[in-house]
Amino acid sequence: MGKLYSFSDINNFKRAVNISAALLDEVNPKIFFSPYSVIPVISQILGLNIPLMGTGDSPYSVTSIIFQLKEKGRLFKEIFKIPLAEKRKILDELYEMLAPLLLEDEDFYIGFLVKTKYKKELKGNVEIKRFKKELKDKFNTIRPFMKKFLNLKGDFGYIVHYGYPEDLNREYGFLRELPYNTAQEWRNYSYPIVNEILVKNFPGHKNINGWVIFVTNYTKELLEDSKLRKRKISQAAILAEKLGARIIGMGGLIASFAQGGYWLSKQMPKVGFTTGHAFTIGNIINIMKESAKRTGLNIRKSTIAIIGAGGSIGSGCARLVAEKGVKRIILIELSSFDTFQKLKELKEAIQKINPRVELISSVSISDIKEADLVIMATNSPTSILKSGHLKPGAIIIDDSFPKNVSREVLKKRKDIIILEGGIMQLPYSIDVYAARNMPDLMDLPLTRAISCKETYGCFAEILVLALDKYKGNYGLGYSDPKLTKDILRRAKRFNFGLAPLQCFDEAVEEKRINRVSRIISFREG
Amino acid sequence: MIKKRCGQCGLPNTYPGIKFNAAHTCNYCLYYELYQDRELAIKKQLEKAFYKIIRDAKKNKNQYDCVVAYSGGKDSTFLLAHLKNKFGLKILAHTLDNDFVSSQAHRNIKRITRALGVKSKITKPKKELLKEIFTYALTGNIPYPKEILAMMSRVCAVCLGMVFGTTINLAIRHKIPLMFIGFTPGQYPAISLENFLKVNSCIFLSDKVYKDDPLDILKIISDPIREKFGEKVKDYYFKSQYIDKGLAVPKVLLPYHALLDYDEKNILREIEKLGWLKPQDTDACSTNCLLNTVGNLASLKQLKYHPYIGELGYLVRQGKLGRNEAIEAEKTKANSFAMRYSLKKLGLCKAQIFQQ
Repeated sequence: MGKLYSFSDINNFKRAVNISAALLDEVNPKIFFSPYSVIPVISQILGLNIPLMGTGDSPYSVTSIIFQLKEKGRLFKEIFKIPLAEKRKILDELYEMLAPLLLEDEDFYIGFLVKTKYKKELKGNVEIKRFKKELKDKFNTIRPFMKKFLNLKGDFGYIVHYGYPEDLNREYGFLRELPYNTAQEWRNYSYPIVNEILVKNFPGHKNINGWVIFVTNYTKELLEDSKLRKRKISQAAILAEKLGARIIGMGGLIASFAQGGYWLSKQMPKVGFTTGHAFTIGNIINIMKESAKRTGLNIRKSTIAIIGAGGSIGSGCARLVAEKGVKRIILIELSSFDTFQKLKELKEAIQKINPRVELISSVSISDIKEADLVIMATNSPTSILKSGHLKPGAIIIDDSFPKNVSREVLKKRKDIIILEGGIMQLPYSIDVYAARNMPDLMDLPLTRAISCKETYGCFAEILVLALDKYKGNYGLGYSDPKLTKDILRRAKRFNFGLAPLQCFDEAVEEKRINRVSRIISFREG
Repeated sequence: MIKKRCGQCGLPNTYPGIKFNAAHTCNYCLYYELYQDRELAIKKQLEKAFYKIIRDAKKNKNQYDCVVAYSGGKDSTFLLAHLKNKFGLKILAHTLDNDFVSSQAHRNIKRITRALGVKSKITKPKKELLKEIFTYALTGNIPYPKEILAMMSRVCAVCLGMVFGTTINLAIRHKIPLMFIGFTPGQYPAISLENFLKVNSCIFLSDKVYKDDPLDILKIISDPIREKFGEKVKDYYFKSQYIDKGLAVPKVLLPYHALLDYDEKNILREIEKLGWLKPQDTDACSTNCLLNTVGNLASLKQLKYHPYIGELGYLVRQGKLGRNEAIEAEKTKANSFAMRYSLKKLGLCKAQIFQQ
């Protein structure tokens, strides 16, 4: 027996792809949206996944196209004989090869794998040469087959990144085995991973589909390297366009990394972009109203602190809160870049909206001590809010990414409420189908979208715009309160709404709400 | 409204994702035709591995070799007896008392565990909490995906989530390496074999992520319940199939899927010898739970198909049940004792369920 590599054997790979191609040759390629639609079907043909009962409704289930495969039982049997470990390698490779294939970057990709992922196991020039030749051969095998399914039928793209190194390492286990520098090089030059999503049965029987494109880096390293983030985000956006996305949304910190999407829009004028901030802000304001209603907090007489007020979401919230009418707003900005200028401009804008609001600006988080309600719109890589910062009965709406409020705060303080700021309700009528099942990630709770029909505001924004067949750029740069009102109007037509008040994926206990209500009632006399 | 049924398995046109060919055969039957050779191959592997897994479990020095999710119904009773008598395993029989367990099923649990010399452990969540959860499942329109609702009613899903959660948690707490569930071959069918291929366990639990991972059913079932009830339910549900690195979880086996031939008549004959008596107050689809029938009726009214039809159709394809028998088994008695008892206990009327 020859040496076992962590990549698939060329003959097994070709056998799997050729048999899949033969099985699918009577299937109309137009029923798929892109090559990414076909991979789950290949996975089932290989026997890696077995379609659940009830999945005939999904284009990603072999049961939806079974009538075209029926006469080919022999091929179906034959392909199953490939060993399980090989099948998994083949499936991984297919997912990972598609981006360089569509971006026409195959040669770079081959060289990159030699230098990173397979550096340890490819010994000497002979092995490297053979690997390169075989990978080229693999590309030649999938190119005609996969390109057949590139139908440019798509409504949206959504670019997102990983939150923490653990998320990446759990999915790309080999990263743990590589030396630090090699793993870093892999992350720096690896290609995006795509999950195709179809959402059916919006009101009016509307269906939309699109691609969630994962930049294979985590928050901290993107925060620290501007060249890296520009290159990787740009690559992800080009891939979305090549797949057929008409409008592209931004999750996690992509919008702030892409400076509100301006340079992306300049680079790709044929596609629309949106930051997702308009709907996120709208959702935060709705959560603020709902929590005030539930606890008896009189917003008009309250002090609201906004942490991250200099950012797009924070400043948007501040403007809408002022418009609504409150006693005092504490504007807090913790980043060191241009802080005073940002706060000065925001104060001037708010004074024009509502001159009666008392405004305090600060660069210290401890100034939230006076706040009845705190909106967090920060993007520190670690938790920054401590339990001692909060007054009894405080309500915190946390839209920070990554999470800047830890569970510890909730545990230590029974007299406060922490609310998830980003999550919102999708219509109950919808069916969500993903080409790939995966764990919920920080800004793409996909399983939660399936189980609870809930998602984050930025993703919801791209869904609404896709449903509305919106053309061109929507929200670029700093948020605009007018857009928030506009997206809320559009979303209402499709039954998007407010999710139950929750924190760390759980309902806020009634006991806690009652306790805070009592404190507020006592305070307000 | 049911207008058409599959000529082979009896699945109705209202069943999720169903399509028919010109010969009136459904897409699920055609898939089964293609799949059955694979199923046999995987079952052979599972059968082979099964004995090794049991041998390994017996080597552990813990108080128990395995935990059996024991409902007191006929299938789990037969399984319990088989595991005890054939393998001599040190078994902990775990029952989730959902407050709708038939009194005869309670007596059966006591009698059978005593007769077999098996330690019995009953987890009994607070009645008020159970009432809230089941009422939510019946009237709250939990937005479970079609893949779940094609296999079970919402009530069964939330209850099954508790059975999984409490039994897995119990196994983790007691360091029990093996867990058995008495699912019939039609319940949770092919996916259990797929999971077994990948993680050597019929329930997928993994600290790694692959691009061919199955749907996270544990999370999908528990998400809406944890969101709605928060901390109160944390002990009863398992969060996700993705587990923390280093957490020792039990391997889960479903013996009826590969090892034991599912023969209902034989099962009844054998367990009656042990003193098991069929409850008279449950409906045809259950031999332990009184609530089951309300869940079935709710599904029929809300989704327009019986939640057992997917399971029954699978048994028909396997030749273990006739098509007409499957269709007959769908009939729910709308005014049975179990129905009246359960609705009264939950403080609900049929109209509240039908309105959803």
